[in-house]
Amino acid sequence: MQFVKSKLPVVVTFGAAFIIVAQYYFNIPAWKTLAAEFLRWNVIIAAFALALGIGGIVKLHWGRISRRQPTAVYSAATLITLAIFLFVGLYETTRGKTYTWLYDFIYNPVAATSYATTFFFITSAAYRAFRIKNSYAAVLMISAILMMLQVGVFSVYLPVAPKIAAWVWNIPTTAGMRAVTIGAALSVVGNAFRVITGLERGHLGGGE
Amino acid sequence: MIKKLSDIDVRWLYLIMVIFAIYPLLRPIGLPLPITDRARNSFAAIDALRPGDLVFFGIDYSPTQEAEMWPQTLAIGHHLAQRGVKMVMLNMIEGAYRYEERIRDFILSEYPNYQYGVNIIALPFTAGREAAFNSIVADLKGLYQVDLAGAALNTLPLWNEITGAGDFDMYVELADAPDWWLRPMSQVPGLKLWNGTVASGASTMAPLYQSGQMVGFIYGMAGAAEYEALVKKPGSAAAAMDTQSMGHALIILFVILGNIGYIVQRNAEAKAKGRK
Repeated sequence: MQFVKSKLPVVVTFGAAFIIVAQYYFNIPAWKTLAAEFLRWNVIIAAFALALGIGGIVKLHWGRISRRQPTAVYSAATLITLAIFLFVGLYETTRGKTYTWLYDFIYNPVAATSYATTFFFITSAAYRAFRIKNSYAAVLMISAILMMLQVGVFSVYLPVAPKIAAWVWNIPTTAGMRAVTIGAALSVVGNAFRVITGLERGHLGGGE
Repeated sequence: MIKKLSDIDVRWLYLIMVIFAIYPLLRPIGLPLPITDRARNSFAAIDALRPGDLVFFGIDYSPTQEAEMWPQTLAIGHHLAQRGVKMVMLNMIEGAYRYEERIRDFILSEYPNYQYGVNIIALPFTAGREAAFNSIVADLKGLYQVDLAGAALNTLPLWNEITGAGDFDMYVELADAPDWWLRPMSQVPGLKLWNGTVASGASTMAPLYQSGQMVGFIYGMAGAAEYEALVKKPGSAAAAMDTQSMGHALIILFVILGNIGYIVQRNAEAKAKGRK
């Protein structure tokens, strides 16, 4: 039983990872076919993960309702909405008239409206946060203003603004983003190596 | 009076913003819209495609990004159709399928030379995001068996012409900023990558354009408006640019006013401390 719990997942992980990684180094058609099959399994598992997500949402919100928390009414709304979309989707598929109506006239406007409210938060945040309290805040504020000035009509009346903004964009921003991207990629590679070799066991339910 | 500038009731700011946002929509001002070199180069990359070239057209955004992404989708859909390329559309985001359906129907209705299954196909949602793209690269034909409408793909002539991802000339991805499509798709030899994204995702994707990994890159409402002008199909993005310019002007004004108030208040507090 101990083997099944702790050793078998590591053996399976190592085997699957080896098949995927090795296909990049060896041009063996049968091996590539096997790797493609594994990748297809990955897609199927991801689809199951979506169903698992539904289970997670139901568990979380049902718990809030049963404990009669102050936010229980929102949880009830979430579960009712979930049930309606699920029922209609399963009954007539996502191509059905009712599902399309729900998507176009309920989900779409609600989602777009919730995103549009960030317009107000940005205005309020810009007014309150962009105060020149120190040199860092000044750099942040000037960069933000330059980015706004490089777009649309401002670049016509202030032709120097896009040039400065382009420099900010091309040099410091790109350098920073590349550092973040490369750093994250190295971290992912390092962590993947630990998972493949069984050094990292957190995902198996225990510690390292 | 000036001290109060640093502490204006936020509801007044909201009210002014609403007026500045709505007025240009009701009475367009027609502010000039310059076209950036980035937009021109991105346009040129698609313009270089020849009729019959095979293009992936990825639609990966949800309704929250519709205001920025749908105008991009329409403008780029126009351009791809004007070039006469063969399109295979796909989506990897839950909820993006509706935009795929809409742009498919739009192209089929606006461009009579497009016939479903012959030179345009819409593939269904696939879960897994990066894993799904990896699967496309490894075995496109094995991954998909039916199209977005549930019809068997092997009955469509265009699908039967395709052997795999290596047959494609360009991947055009309209997404809300993620780069998980780019890592797998950049493994396909000779496949040119092109991206349209939201303004907030521009800083994530821009280095990939600057490094030459992508041949085209536009972002936000401004990118959509520029592209609408380039394909000579003015739409909702061009109309909304007045609002965006007015909004930016107002935010800059608020920032300046807030700072004037803050500096005056800080100086007054420093003086008061000095007196003590």
